[in-house]
Amino acid sequence: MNNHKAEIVINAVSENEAFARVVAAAFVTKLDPTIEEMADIKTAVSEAVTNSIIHAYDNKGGIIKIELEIKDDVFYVDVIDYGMGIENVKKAMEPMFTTLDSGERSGMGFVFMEAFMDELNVSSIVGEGTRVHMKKRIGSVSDTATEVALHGTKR
Amino acid sequence: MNNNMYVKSNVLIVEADVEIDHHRAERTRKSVDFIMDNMGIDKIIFDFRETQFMDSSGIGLIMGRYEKAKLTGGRVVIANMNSSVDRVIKMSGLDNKICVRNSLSEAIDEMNAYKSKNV
Ligand SMILES: Nc1ncnc2c1ncn2[C@@H]1O[C@H](COP(=O)(O)OP(=O)(O)OP(=O)(O)O)[C@@H](O)[C@H]1O
Ligand SMILES: [Mg+2]
Repeated sequence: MNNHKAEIVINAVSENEAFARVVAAAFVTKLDPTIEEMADIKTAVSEAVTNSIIHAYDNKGGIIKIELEIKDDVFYVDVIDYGMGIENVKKAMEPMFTTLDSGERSGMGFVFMEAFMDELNVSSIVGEGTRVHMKKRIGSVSDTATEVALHGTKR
Repeated sequence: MNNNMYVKSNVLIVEADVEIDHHRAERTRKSVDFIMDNMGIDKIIFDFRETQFMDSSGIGLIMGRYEKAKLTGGRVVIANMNSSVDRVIKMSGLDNKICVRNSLSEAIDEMNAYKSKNV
């Protein structure tokens, strides 16, 4: 049984976006991921952390907690903030939905998290904060999943 | 890590960062908008040859410049994406709106063709 845990707490400032995704990528190296799997995880973590900075805390700063775990060949990451929360999670997760109408946001963050990870769960309480839970199996099994996704059949 | 940008024949060429996240995209946005506003430039090429990582903030950066350039009849062309940058661009559907070229020289040719059609 392969089991590792780590937890980091960072300030919700944009300089920490790169730090957060690099830590997640370094943590997952224990599972010997492909370059693509590593890129998937970096993107997903970057999306979740950015959302906490710009949406949860409205760029005014706060605390973000990142919980990392490896269980056998599965990587888990939770990104937690104590910001404003999401009123309608289902709606927030729709492609191209954004509450920032500055024209600088595409509403693709949750779409990328969903596409690049095997599982995405968002729980949120307005006024209390948001937890984004993600899971990704690393290695041969997820290759099979990709095969199935690409070719539609399991060989 | 900082991106370089220069103006050549009235076209702004942005050599995009190695990693484009919200932090980096904000800095690039400020520089590009400053040049657009102060030099009256509305034709922009983003050259992604150095870019290894881009998330949705990069999509927003390109989208935002596209909308801004459009206001004055300008244009945005993007070039030289590696496979991981290309993947997020395709997933976002950005390639349906914005002109994509394989190399910087093709992007410049495309921009010149556009200029001669729209004098
Ligand atoms: N941690 C969070 N706290 C509060 N609101 C959030 C949080 N994460 C997401 N949201 C809400 O969900 C919406 C959709 O998020 P998503 O990441 O998909 O798009 P976006 O951040 O608006 O744009 P993009 O990610 O493309 O830059 C946001 O506009 C915001 O309203
Ligand atoms: Mg987002």
